[in-house]
Amino acid sequence: MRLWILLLMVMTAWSYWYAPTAPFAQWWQAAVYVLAPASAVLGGVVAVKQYGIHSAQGRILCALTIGITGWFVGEVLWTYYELIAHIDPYPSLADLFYFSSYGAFAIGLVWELKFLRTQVQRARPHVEWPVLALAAVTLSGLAIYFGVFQAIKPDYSWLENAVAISYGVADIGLVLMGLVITVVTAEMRGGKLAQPWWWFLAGISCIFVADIGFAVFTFEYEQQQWLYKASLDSLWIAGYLAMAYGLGRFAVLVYSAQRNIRPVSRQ
Amino acid sequence: MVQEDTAQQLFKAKLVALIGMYFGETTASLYKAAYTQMPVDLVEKSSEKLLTEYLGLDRARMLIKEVKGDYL
Repeated sequence: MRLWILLLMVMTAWSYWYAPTAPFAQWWQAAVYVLAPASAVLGGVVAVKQYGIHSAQGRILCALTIGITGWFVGEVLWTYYELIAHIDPYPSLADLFYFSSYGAFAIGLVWELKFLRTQVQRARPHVEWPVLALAAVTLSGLAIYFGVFQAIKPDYSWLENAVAISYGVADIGLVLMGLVITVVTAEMRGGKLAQPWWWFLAGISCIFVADIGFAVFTFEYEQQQWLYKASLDSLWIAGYLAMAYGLGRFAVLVYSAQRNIRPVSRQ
Repeated sequence: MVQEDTAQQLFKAKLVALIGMYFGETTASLYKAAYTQMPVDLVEKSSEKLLTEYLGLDRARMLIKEVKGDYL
């Protein structure tokens, strides 16, 4: 998994930054742009298989994987519209799949929070609620300002503006998801199972920043201006790869827990 | 098979269920098979070690304490 992610990172750096005008660079970019979320889906599937769908954590990871699958389908459609059909991919059916993912993410993370809360009845002292609340308000404010107000373009159609505003609202959902994950990692701090959640949080954060950037620089991105396209795509790819690594880590950690007991069970 | 009373058996079963919730069914079945051969104090130590390593010391201790309080 690490080698694969490293390979995709090298492909991203080469096709977007080092040789963006090389022959077939657009196709290399498209390939890595689709392979990144595909890797995240694969990581999720492996994690769910390791846990088993009947376990609480397995179902939670399944919900998150379904969410990432929605983003993956959206990316495939976006790439198809842009490179093959030569249709403006924004707005399009791809956006429907992007939006559908937020619901699955929300379900998975609410389940995770409820799961942790039901295990230990007392409130944990480590979670600093005032700090989290401040972070939530600040980041949501950024999402609203850049993702909603700045996203409205007078010369765009009502549909384009409606979709743009919806992304801003959905990005508030990303902020809340990030906070839930932060609480989850705080609950498990010191434990190995916190690590995959940190990676997932890093992935969500990259996607949040990229979404805000897209909202502000939609025109430049659609015009395929190099710096904007390279920066935003790199952030989205980084986000997917971080999630892929995190989900893969769940599977590895569960496998290592199984290995811990195997010598004892053979006695 | 180690001789033990009902409360100890329930304690073991609850720990296995806890492991199942955090690590999945396959892991739980492995630990269940191992725990039938082990006395309850070793089971408790093994579970605490596992949960501490993966969930952190605080959460592990609270979980073990809550389960123990229910059965032992």
